Amino acid sequence: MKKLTFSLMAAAALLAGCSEEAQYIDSTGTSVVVSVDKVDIQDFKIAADGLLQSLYDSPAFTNAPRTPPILAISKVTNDTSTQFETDILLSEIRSSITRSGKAEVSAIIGYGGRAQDEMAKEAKAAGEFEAGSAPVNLRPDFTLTGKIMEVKASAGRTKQVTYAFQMTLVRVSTGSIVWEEQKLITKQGTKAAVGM
Amino acid sequence: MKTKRNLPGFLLLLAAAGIFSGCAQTTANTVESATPRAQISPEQMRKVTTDSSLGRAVVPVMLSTGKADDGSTFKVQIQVQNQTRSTAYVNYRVDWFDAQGMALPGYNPPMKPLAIEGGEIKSIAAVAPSPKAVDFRFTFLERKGD
Repeated sequence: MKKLTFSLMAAAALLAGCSEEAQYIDSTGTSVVVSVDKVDIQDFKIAADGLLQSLYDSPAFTNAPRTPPILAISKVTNDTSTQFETDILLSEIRSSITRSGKAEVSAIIGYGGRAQDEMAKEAKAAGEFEAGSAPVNLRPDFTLTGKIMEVKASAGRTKQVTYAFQMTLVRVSTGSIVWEEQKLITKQGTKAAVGM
Repeated sequence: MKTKRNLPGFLLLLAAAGIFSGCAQTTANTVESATPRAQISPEQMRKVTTDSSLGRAVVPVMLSTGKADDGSTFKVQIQVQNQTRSTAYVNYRVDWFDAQGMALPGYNPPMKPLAIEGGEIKSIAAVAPSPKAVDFRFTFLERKGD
């Protein structure tokens, strides 16, 4: 009887040790889940950080027609086999550029004529109408476009996926590319794991 | 008959060969100019080591600062050497601080993976995310499971 009680207690202790209760973790830390077949939250952050480091290291925004120049975010295409919101990447880029003071990001000029903030666009138009003034030309000085692609490979049970995050900055007055960068993120393994 | 007697020994040799080929360590050999032309601004380093194995796998050999191509943004580069004979898989992060020593608000630097072969020297450069950044700190962590 004593043996049985001891065995049950040991089993219970083992099971309790194995179960993992939900907990909050740092999204920028090392305890995040690493998947082999999809883009993880840390991949967006690492890619955005790498792209921004390159942009800030370049003279792209120097010699702009005004200071700070106005930047319009164009389109970011997801060419991977998994579906995700590209705005996760864009929001990292947009907020960092805004905080850096290197450029102002337009909320009323967007890809296909769509504004990020329709209310701001309408308010601006209404203000100009009421004042009887001609619309102020807020043509952006630069546009930013992007693309995310993937390359998959495998050897036996080991899977490998590389995500290529590309960004291009175009000077509107000349239509020429003034900065372009690609950040590769490669992950390899047989299954998803907890921790980087 | 003779083959049968030697079979265990042969298998042992085969296994040993397999183990050694699987664990083959690659270390890096480097060649560079003996008289570098770069104008380096080396900085004094203050190191805090709490993980001794990581301390040998990521040894800071030079820290230098400069300006980005726009002429105003602060830039830093650290050269680290893996002084072991096996590949080190680590994560690193760069934190930025303003003139008051405060971490830059809204900037949450991600942990980034880094692999350094045995003996290899790698340069890690970081550009400040804001002109307000005047100080920095590199943090290295061993990869989970290593």
